[in-house]
Amino acid sequence: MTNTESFLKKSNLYPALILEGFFSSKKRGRIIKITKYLIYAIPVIIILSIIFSSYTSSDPSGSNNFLITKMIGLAMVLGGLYIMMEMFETYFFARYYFEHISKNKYGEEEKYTFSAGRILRRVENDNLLTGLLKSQSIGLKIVDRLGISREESAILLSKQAELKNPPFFDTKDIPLVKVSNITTFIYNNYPDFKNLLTNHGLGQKDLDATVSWVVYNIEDKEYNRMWWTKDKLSRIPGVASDWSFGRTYLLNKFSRNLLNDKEVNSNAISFSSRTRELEQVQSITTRSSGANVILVGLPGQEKMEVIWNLCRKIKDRTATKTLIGKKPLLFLTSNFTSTINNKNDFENKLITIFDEALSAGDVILIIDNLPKLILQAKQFELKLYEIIEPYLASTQDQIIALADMDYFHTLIESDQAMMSRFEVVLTKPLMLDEIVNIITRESLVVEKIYEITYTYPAILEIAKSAEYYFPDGVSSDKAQDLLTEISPWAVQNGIQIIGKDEVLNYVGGKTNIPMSSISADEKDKLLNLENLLMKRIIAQKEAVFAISNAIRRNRAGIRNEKRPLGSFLFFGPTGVGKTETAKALAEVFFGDEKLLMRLDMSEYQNKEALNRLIGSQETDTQGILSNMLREHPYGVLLLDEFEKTDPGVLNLFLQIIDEGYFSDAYGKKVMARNIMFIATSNAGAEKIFELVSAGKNPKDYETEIIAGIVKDGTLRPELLNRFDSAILFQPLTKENLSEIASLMLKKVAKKLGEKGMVLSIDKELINFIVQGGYNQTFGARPMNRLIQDTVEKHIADLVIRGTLTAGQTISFKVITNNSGKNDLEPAVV
Amino acid sequence: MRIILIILGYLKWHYGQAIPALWNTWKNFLYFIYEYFSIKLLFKNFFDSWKRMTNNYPQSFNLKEYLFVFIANMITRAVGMIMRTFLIIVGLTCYILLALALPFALVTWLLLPFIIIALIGTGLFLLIK
Repeated sequence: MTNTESFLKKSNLYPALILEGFFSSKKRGRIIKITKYLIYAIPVIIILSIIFSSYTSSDPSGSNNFLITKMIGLAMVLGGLYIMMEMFETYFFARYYFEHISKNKYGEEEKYTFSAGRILRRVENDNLLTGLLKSQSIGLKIVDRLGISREESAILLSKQAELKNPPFFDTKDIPLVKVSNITTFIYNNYPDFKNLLTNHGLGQKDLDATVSWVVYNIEDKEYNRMWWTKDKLSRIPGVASDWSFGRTYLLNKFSRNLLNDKEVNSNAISFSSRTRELEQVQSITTRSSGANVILVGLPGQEKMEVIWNLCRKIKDRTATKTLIGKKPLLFLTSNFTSTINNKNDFENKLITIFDEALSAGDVILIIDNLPKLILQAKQFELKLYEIIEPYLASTQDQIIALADMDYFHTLIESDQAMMSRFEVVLTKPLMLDEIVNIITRESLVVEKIYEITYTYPAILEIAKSAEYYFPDGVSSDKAQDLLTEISPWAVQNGIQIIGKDEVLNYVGGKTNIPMSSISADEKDKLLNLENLLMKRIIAQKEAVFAISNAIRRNRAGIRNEKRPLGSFLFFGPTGVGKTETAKALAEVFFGDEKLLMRLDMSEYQNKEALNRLIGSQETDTQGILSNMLREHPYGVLLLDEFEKTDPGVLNLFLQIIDEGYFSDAYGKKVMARNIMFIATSNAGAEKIFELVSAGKNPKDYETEIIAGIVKDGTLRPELLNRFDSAILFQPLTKENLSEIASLMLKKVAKKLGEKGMVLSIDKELINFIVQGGYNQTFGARPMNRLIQDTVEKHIADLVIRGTLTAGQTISFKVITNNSGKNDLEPAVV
Repeated sequence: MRIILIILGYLKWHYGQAIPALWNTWKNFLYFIYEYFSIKLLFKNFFDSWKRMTNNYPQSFNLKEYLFVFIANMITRAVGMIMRTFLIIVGLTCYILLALALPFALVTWLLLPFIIIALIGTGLFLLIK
């Protein structure tokens, strides 16, 4: 007998485990159903046959007696079977040892939990990994959820035959062996398993979370079948529980009883989160006086989660004595305010409602939006506090008010009287682990509806993506939204198993940020980014290298997620390609040049500039920058002439580049972590021109140029240091200009090509554009104007006259016009 | 072999731990009946008015009005008492019946393996006969 077998046999659970393996609960359930229906059918058969034989048989009593005897015999056999199966079910439940609540029906100690036993029973040759990979009921479910394919697990299993002395699983020091003990042991002692997980990007923590999820799922189902336990019976409300309490006629119109909410009625074994806030609310509402709470949090469901958890405790009768039997009514402020016509109406109705709540004696009044009520009162020139003060001071009722964080700060915190009547409970944002926990449980519901399966890496990615890529709102809400959005999308695309890549694909599609694993084509593109970009950006090698590196860092997933995607300061003369580089970046990284947003910072030079960017409470205006980033949370933001803006605005960007967010005038966070910032500046241009005219290469004097910019106070050193890199844009040489002119002309040729016409570009034409269009102060920019005024003008004239049509080629010859200047003469072939 | 192991394991439980477990489940049901009919609460608030439907006495003394409120309040109290008495009787009856059924359930439980054998045995005999 192997060690594992002898360990298994030491427990009372063993026969139940064997029973489960031999004759599973599912099969027993089926037999119970069939025997029950057959037993019901037997009397019907007897009655029908008596009626039938009385008409047809010559000896009805004889044939009836025979049939009745046989039917009674059959009923007895079926009855015996039925009772036997029911008894086995009872035995199974009595023996079932839950991991999540760590007890069975008797609460006695066991050697291992039922789920752990299911894996251990499949162990061959004391090799624990075989147990995990062979147990259909739990082990393989864990493997599936980890995103490991059945082929991979089969290969791993076949390797185990070669292992002669498997690592020894010592159970002596483990008081109760749980599935997590087994999987941790396997992870630490079977390198093949560990390597496989590592290849999937998973570690011990992920394994533990997956195990907890799978075990929860199995145990939750079993637990829900046990209707006879004390906690389940306690949830059925008593018939006379409200006979001694008053009625709340008006309050009922504007409220709902939370005990009927589906969140309160779910049978989940335990509360998943927000236990700290729940304990605080419960202890405050239990007080004999001043039992009023104001629950403050971000807009979203998180405040309600605390309330639902409290209601569940009330319903389960596990809340404190004072709260058991109470009726939590959620006062729906919007429903109330929409029916109010005038000041008197507001005051009278509100007093009646609070009177009813107080005199009923069993109501916990929960106001879903206290700030809204305060604002409504203000509109009627009333002070809400003065109306509800007697009720807040009463020792006989409990009032819980919910408020969004920003309104709490602006409307309630400053009101000393109101604050003295309420205890404040702040809901903390959930940690990633807690969000994952919520999503894993939520996913079980979604999986049932859409008939899909989520792997753990997918769940983890949903939780992370909700945090990083969707900046507004509560993370747990966003993650739940993402989960419910991905599911129908997966069904539409024929995806049954959702892994990390599928989630990244979806999020990538939604945000335009490339995220899924890098394909072969994209790999080539990423490795040759410099060449690709240099086809478009002429001469600025350093800039091309810097942004190529930033793109690769982001794509490889090694960027700092608490900062923007990238931040660059481009400085140097006008017209040398700074804006073009930003456009190229938007196109290469986000796939669309249009995702380039632009702010001309020279327009933000005065003291009002900051208010225009982040909004102002005084004038009740929204900020240009905050709106821009809320509407387009992903993209490239070009800040032209950055150095010209007000110092207050520079400080704002100092924070944005450092932290990846800022707060607008209303105290709301605006995230900028998915934005690539490019600030351009003409600072140092004069010095660069000086160097060029002296025949020196500005690149060699970069440090001096930057020192000069700092010295003359154009940009502060701490701001310069915040950028990922500050890049000097070189003035363009004649060769560079020829290349740029050629690129510009090719663009015109492309437009013509779409109409079936050909533009012939030769050296003569390029030289004409370079010589006529270059200007030291404005760089290559005037060349564009020259092309418009000459090449495009001629083409337009010819097209309108009908001289240039599809299939024809146009070329230009440089001539000297009447005023002695060079000009172009078109020729159509 | 496995069947014998299961049967032995089962019988060990059936005549061992299952008996206190049966008693515990019974207690759960008794607790449920007690709570479902709110028996304690009904006794505690026995003289309370029906759903707190009371009228307030007039501020200034007015015998007619005073009497009217007094009678009205007495009526709601009487309604409350009648309803409570009725529910207490029903609840206590259920409670007592359930408590009395325990010995019967216990005996049935002890005989259950034999009942199963007897049912299947007799049933097969009747079918074959």
